[in-house]
Amino acid sequence: MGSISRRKLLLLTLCNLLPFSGGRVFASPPNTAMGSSDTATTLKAFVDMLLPADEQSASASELGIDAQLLQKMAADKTLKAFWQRGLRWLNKQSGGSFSALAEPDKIELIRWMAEQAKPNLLPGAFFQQIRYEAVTFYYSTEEGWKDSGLQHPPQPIGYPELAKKSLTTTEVLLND
Amino acid sequence: MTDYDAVIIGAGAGGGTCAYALTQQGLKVLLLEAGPRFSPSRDYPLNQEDWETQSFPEKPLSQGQYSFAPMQKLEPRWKHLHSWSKNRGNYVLGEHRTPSGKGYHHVRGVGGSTLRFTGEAHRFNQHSMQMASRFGVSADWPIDYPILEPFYTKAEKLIGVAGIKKVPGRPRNGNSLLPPHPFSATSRLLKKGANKLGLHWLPNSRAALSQPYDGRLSCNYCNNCNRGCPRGDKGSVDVTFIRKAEQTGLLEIRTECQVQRLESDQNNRITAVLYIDKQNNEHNVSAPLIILAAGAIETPRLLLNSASRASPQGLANDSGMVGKNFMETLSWNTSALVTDKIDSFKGLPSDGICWDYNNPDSIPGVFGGCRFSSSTAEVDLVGPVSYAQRIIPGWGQQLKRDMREKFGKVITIGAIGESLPNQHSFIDLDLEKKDQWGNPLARIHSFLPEMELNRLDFMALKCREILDAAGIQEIVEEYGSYDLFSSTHIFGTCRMGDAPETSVVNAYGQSHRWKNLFICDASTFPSSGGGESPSLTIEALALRTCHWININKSKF
Repeated sequence: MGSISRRKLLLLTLCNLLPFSGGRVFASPPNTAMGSSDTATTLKAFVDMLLPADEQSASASELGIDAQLLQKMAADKTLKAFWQRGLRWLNKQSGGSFSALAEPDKIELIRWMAEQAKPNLLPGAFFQQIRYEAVTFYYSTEEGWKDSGLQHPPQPIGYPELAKKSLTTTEVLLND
Repeated sequence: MTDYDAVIIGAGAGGGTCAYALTQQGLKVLLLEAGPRFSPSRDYPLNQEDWETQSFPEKPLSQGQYSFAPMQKLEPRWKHLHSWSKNRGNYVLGEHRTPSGKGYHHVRGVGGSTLRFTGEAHRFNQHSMQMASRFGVSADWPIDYPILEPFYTKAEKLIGVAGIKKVPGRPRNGNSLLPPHPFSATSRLLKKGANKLGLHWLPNSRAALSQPYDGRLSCNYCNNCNRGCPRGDKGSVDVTFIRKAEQTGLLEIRTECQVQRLESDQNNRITAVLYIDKQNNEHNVSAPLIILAAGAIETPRLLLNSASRASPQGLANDSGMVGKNFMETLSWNTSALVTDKIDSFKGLPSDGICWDYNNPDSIPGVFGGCRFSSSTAEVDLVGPVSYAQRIIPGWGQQLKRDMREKFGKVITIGAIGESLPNQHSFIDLDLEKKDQWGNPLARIHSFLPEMELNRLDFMALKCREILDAAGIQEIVEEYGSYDLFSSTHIFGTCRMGDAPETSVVNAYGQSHRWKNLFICDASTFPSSGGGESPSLTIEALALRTCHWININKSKF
C-alpha cells in the first residue's frame, strides 16, 4: 500500500508556484498514455472519496458516477487529456496507485487539493472539475436527490398542499 | 389558405397577441416564426429523474444568433457588486464586463420567450411613462396609463392572471383577476424582513392559474416555470392567445421560417416579406398588413437588413433611431442560507414583490425605480445539483451531511431596476459575423453609466438589508448586472413617439412612413419601467394596435 509523506505535501505546495496553463507542472508525470483500466480504477477511487457511502446513502461508484464520467471523457478529447493528466498526477503523488493509498493518506492528499492547491493549476483545477461533474451526476440520480431530502421530481405531483396555505384574511384585506 | 389579410413576423408575446386579435376580427393571418413548436407534455421533462440538469430545452433554430461588442472595464470602487458564489468564487475573473452564458436569454418558438418566462404579469407604473418631461431622462410614452388600462384588463382576462387589485401606481377599473397565490416559505421570510424595514411585501401578479380557468389546470407549485410548464397553467402565449387564434381556423403558423428582408414600394408600403423555410426554399409573401414582432434585437436587425435605395439607412429608419436606445435587464440577486429547513424549493417563482421603490423618483440620487421579489427559482436554486455545485462546499462525508442539512434552506431576493437609454447602448449590424444566408448578425452594445451603477448599488444593498432583517445565517451567492450582461427583458430599439424625427413608430406601433407596417414588441417601449416584467404591456399594446387597425381597416 502506498503512502504520502509530509515532505511530499510540502512539495505539492510548491506546485502552486508554477503555472499550469502552457507550462510544465511540477511533479507532473511525463505525458504518456494511461491504460484504460488504470484510468477507471483511479477515477473510481477518487470519486468515491468525494462522495463516499455512509449509513444513509450509496457511494458515487455504486450509483455509476465513475462510469458516467468515463463516458464524458470518451466524448471529449480535450477533457480526456486533462483528466488523464490529473489521474496520472494522483497516482504519482500516491507512489504509483492512488487507489492503493491508505484512506488517511487519500484524505490528506484530497484535502490539500481542495483547500491549498491553486484552482488554475493542475491539482486544484482537476479537483474542482471532477467534484463539479461528480456532484452533478450524483445529485441528479433518484438516490442522490432523495438523500438530500427531495422526495420526488417537480412533476407530475408538484406541491399542491401549498395551495391550501392561502393568504390570511388580514393579508388579503390589507391588499384589497 | 394563401390570401392573407396580415402577415405577422414572430410568435412571441406581441405577435401571438396580434394573431389572436386579428383573427377575432375575422382576418386571415399568416404567422411566420423563426423557431419550432414546443410540446409542453413532451418537451418539458420535469417528471424525470435528472430533471434538474435539463434547463429549458433547446431545439434546432430555437436560439437566435447575435454578437457582443466589447464591454466596459470593471472598477475597484464597485467590487462589492461582483457576482460570486461560495463554491466558485468570483464568476468574472477578467477585467471587463462580460455576457453571462449567451447573455440574452430568449426562446425562438411558438410562444417565444413566454415559454420559459417566470410569468409575472405586470402593469406599467403610471408614473414611469413621462421620464423625459419629469426628469429629463429617457423619453415620454406617447400614451398614458388610462389609455392602456382597458387593454391590460382584456389581456389579464385572456391569460388568467392571479393577483391583488390594489397595486401601487397601477389603478384598475373592475376586477379581471383570479385570487392571489399563497406565499411560499421564501416569500414569508422575505415579507418578514421587508416589513421590519417598513416595506410592503405583496402577492405578485402572476400569469399562473390559482384555480382552474378557461379549460386549463391550476398551478401545483412545482417552482420550475423557467423550465417550461408541462401542465399549461402558466399563461405563456402558446396556450392562451395562439390557442384561441388557432381555434378560429383563420390562423396559419409556419415555423422554422427565417425572414430575410422586407420589400417596399414607392407608395410607402411594405409589399413583400421574403423568407426561407426549413427546407431552405425561398418564399415571398404579401398582405395588406405587416406586423413585425421579433423582439428588441431581431426587429431592428431585420429593418436594418432591409435597407434599400428608398431607405438606405434601413427600413423605417428615417429618424436614425432603429437600433438606438437599447435598454437591458438591470438586475441583482442575493441568495442566503437560513436557519430553518423551509423547503425553499417548493412554491411559485416570484410569488411576492415589493413595489416601494418602483416610482421613478423613489431611489435617492438617481432617476428610475426598481422592484424586489422572491427569486429563488429564477436563480435556479430549486434542486440539490445546484446546491452542490454553487452553495455547499467541500467533499466526502461532510459534503453529504451538509447537503442533507442545508438543502431547502437557501432563499433568494432579486431586484430589477429601470434601464435608462444611453448613447453607448444600442444594436447595430455586425458586418463581420453573418448567418448562414449571409445576413449580418445583430451586435449588442451595452454600457452601464454612473446612474445605472448607482441604482444597481442601491438594489444590491437593499437586497442584503431585507435579507438581514429576515434573519438569515449567511449570504452564499450574489449575481448581478455589474460584471455580467444577463438580459431577459430588452427594450427601446424601435422607440414609439409622436415625432417622426425622434421615433420609429407612432403610438399605435405604426411606422411613421410605411403605413402598413406595425411593430408590436418591446422594441417600441420609450422607457423600461422600474423593473416591471414587460410581457403584459407588450400584449396590452398589441391589443390596442389591433383595435386601432380594426377601426381603420378601410385604410389598409
